[in-house]
Amino acid sequence: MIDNEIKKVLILGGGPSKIGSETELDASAFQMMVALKKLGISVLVMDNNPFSLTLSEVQPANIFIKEINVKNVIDVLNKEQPDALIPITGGLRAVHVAQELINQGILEDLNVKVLGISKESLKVLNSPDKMKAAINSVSEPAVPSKIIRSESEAFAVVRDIGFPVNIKKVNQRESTERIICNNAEDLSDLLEDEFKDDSVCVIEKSIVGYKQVETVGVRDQTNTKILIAGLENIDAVGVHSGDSMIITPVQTLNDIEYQNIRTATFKIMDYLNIIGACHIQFALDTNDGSNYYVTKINPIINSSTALAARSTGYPLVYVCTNLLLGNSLNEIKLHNNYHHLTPIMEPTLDHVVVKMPVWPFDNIREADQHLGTKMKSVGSTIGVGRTVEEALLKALRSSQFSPRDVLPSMKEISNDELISQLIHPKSDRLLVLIEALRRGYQIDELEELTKINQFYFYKLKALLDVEELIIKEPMKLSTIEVAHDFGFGDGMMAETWQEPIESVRALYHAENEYPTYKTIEPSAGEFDQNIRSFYSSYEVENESHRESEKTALVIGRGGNKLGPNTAADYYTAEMLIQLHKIGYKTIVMNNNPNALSLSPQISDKQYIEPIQLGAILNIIELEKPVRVFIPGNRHFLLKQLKQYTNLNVQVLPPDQETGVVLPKDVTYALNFFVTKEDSYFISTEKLISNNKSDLDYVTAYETPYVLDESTLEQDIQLSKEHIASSNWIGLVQILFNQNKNGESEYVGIRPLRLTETIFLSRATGINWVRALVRFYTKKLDIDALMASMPDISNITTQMQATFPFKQLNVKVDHANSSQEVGAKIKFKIND
Amino acid sequence: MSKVVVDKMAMQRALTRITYEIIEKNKGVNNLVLVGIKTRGIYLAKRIANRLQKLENKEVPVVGIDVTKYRDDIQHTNNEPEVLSDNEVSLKDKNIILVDDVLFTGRTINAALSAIAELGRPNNIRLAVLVDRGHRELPIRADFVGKNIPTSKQEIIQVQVDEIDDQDSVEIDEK
Amino acid sequence: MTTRYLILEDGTSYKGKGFGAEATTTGEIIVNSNMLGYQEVITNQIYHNQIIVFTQPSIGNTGINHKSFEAIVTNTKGVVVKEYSNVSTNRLGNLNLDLFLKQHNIPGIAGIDTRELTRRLNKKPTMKASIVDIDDEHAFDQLHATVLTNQQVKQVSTTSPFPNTGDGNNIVLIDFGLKYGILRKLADLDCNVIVMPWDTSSKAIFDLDPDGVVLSTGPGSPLDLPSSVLDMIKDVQKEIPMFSMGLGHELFALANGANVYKLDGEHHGSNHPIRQIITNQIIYASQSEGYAVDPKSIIHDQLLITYVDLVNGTVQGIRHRDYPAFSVQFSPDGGPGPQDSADTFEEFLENVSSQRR
Repeated sequence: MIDNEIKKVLILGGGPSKIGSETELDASAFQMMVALKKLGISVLVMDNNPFSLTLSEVQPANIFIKEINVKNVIDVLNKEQPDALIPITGGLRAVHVAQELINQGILEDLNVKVLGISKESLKVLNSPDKMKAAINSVSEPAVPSKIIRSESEAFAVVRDIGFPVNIKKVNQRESTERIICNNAEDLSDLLEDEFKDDSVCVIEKSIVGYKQVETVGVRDQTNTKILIAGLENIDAVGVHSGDSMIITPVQTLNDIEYQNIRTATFKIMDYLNIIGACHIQFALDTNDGSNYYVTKINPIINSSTALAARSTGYPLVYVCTNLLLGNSLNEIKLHNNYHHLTPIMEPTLDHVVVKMPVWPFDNIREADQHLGTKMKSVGSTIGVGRTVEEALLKALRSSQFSPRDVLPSMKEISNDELISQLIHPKSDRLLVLIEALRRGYQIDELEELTKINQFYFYKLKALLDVEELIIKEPMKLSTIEVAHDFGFGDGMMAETWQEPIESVRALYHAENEYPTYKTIEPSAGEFDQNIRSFYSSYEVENESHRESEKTALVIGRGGNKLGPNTAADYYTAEMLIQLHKIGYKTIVMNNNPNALSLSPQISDKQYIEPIQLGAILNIIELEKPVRVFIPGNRHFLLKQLKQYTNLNVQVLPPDQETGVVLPKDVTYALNFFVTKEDSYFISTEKLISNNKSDLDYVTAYETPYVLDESTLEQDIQLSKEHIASSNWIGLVQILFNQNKNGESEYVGIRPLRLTETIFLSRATGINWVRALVRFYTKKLDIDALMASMPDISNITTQMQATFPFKQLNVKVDHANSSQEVGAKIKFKIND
Repeated sequence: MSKVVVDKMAMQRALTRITYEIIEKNKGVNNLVLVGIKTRGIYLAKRIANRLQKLENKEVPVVGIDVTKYRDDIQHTNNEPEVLSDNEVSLKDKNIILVDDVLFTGRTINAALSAIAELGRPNNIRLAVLVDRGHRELPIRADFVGKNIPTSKQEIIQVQVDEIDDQDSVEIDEK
Repeated sequence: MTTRYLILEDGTSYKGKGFGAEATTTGEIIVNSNMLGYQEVITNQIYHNQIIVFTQPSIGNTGINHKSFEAIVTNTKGVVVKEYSNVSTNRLGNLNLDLFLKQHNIPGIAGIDTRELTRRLNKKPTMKASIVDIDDEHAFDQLHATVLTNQQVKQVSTTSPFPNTGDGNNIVLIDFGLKYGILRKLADLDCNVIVMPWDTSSKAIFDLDPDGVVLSTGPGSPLDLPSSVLDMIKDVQKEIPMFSMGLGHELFALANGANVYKLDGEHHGSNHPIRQIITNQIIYASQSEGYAVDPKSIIHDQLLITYVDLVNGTVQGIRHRDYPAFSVQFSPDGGPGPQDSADTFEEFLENVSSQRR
């Protein structure tokens, strides 16, 4: 039963995105807000992430754009007096703030409940010792470990648990690396160094090479528990699970092993009195799967819970929100697209999902690409298929960001380098494994070197066999049919055969063969649900039919990358919302399991597919959209689409033409909204570079930039002239440089970048993304819009980009904008 | 050092089984009244009544009694029976199930029987206990037992119930 | 892999690739939605005379291992999958699924759109199907003409008693198509088990003076068995604590005056929430059912309903009012499937020890 006492709730956001938390936190905050509103509860949101959709969807009076820390939260609690605080949508940072508030007794004084995390869970979250104690309390095995202060203590432990072992220094302030010792000499040597400064260490059994499996479970207050998903890491322990390739449902466990970890998950959720979701990590002995350890308990929302939700179609966040408020699983009312008992049926899948990580290394070449226990990936993509090979290949295709649908070749790497990478994994792992198979390595030796289960090598080998078939038997229907079954895209075949993609497609269309889209739903076909997420396969039944006569297709950005980062997905989400408001039926195509844009509430239909020409053409063929929108800079895709369809395809923001040379020195800019008839001045903007005034290194922004009246007039005049003589429409930015004498000169013109569009929206109080969409669908009344712009002269808005350098352990002197991982925003009231 | 000998799940199962056995012996819930001995016996009795209600869809009345005044091994001044119940429930002609957490010497039960005798003449009285720890000093035996836990006289058995102790468990402790 | 066809009674034909034995077989076609445990499913005697469609796309991933047999001899009539994985990866394995099926003359067919097939089968009552080499008129004729046996229990039950020794309680287990998981669970609890044929008389059981009696799961309809089985149950339940599951549960219900009906569509999976009435708790269990007890036929003086499936409302457990005898429709030993209800075995043994006092 819903707790009727709770009428107003404060949700804490995740702050600027970083490695380890991209859009999944905001996506969960957004879905939670939707669920809360449905239950008639008033929602307040606090976050300083400018790219938060939740902040845009809540009315201005209820948003607090401030950094998530104890002081700020107390301020808001005092001012607004909500009945409850929800920190779990804000990641560990928000949870720690909540914990601090509980410890200080503040929440009790203010009579504010904390929802989403039990006091038992809080105890376990910070303390590995308490976590171990919890695991042992339910008679489940934790990794044997002990705190040691001397070498003899260490060896006593080793005599008990054997080698290999890990040594980790105990340090409260930052996380330290585990160092592995394989024998007595290693251990002695290492301890000599570690104990030099009288520090304390933890010694534990090394589980490197063990199989990593994760579970996501849900529990309500009547003690009912469901396992939402089992996530198997293809990479063994030793690679952080955030960087690992993951597959669901589990493929190489037998039922007994699986039930062991399911039961363990339930026991832990009971013990910690979890109401909501819980993510637990296990390590299984590959020689004997019934021998396992519970390695980590995460009683929060994170990318694993997001992956579980996206892979199964189970409305996890919506359900959890209800649970937090006291509903039991049996009482939850879902949208009638779902079977009414969906919350309480344990998901069972008839499809396969593979997650591949997305790396930051292209933009930060200084970083060490070796994968270890500290997470380095900045995003992820998923491939969904009806076979393991199909899912693997689609995930791989999605993670490569190659518009041309070809897999990069590893032909150039030397044999030594290959072996090194097999033993010490780097990014591009899967490609290395495939190359090793190509060079004739045997499956059992590969298993030995990489600790990856043979099963996956058999699957990769099957893919290689099909690749060979494609090369040997070009332009044959039989080849295409086999290739499709294994997840190969039409683009790949076209590229290999040096034929236009249309010829390839024509071959199978002639036989009336078309992709069959299947629903991602959690009942394995038992119930006819109207869940709107689809993936492609080439089988008998197609479950997706043309949505409407007036459909807009939005092509998402795929996995999160540095540079446009989470702003890109936020942008996509805003577009979808606005298009829907205008009256289109909206379809989004994306493959990022953390994406905001894939939240079921935002679009009418979702396709989880590689963002490649072949897949897009297939969807266009089925849905016949009247408009296609491509958020973000994607020249190649646009060119191809224009070539193959005569659809109205719009890139937003408009493409920066290649070959245009941008100025080097820039101080500030003027932003305009430009129509065919006129241009409208919006605001001035200071561009703060961290490398003198080099435009490429602008990573902080401030608006307004104060100019004296006459200079401003001049600049506006000059800008309008340049705009008139250019072709740009929509949001346009005129660049100025102020020299040493304070004189400013015009230096360039460009379309307003994605991140800055969002910045401008926050600063001016007008959602410019939505305005752009209305503009391009001829629904914008620009005069009314400009008239409605509030007076912001007494507020200064600052946005500072954030970077992953510390997380990647690199020192970069000057950060450029292609290395941004997130941003934070701040308002200052001027007196 | 205390040791948990019955955990939450085991306690649930024990109460469930006792419930079924009561239905078997009583041939249903007709005429049934549960009398719980203060303090924990009352909570256990309520849980059994709850289960009976779910199976048979009938309310079984629960009465609580405090028998300290009836203990023959403790000095008293007052001889009044103490019935702790909100509503008037007559025990005349009823099938009583006396419920207590631990059966030890039998003196508490004996006191309870005396108390009940003052409240009317029931049809029959049966005894349900969560734990039977042995060492009877009177000819008293339980009809329904959750768990037999043989103990030495020095040991202490501690039953905890969620309603007042925040957990469900039975623990053994050295004195 | 050679081309083979799966043909259904309603005229549909699916083209696929054969694996396992090259046999032509006919059976009732049912869908199993467990994501793991294909070995347990295929070797479960419940699937005697049935062709199993797996919703899980990839089957065969972990080969065949010693601990996952639910019977050594298997009578399944066929295995239908999307993808057959020809690997044997689990360290316990020394055989793969393909070889295993060949050994037992069971055909498999892969490359099928099992999702479409599942959705089609869900809309119709259970029907027959065949796995054949050519999907011509002759094959369909044969399919329609085939009458499936109703002597299933007789075909799978042991013909003579055999022991499964232990130090604890003496249990007689009546084999209607025994699932080894039951034996394993009883062994875990130290029981000294004697497995007896399906038609064992009550006298033979009393002669052994067991502490408890278990009626196993099995294939087919309880209505196909002679009333002598029901008489045995009526006699034994009065004297000895009894625990039954699956087919055993249906027989227990019939013996106590309730009716059993054939479900419109069989359900084989572990995803349905099942409510335990006495505690209101919800659990999940391995379900393999083609029949169910009709709740309206339950004589309240004799039986209590103890478990209900929340999805389709079927009775999932009953208990006798007067005797320590109870039964469940699902398989509490899992194999494959959740261990949520494994403590029903302990419940049974507690009845046994209560009775002894």
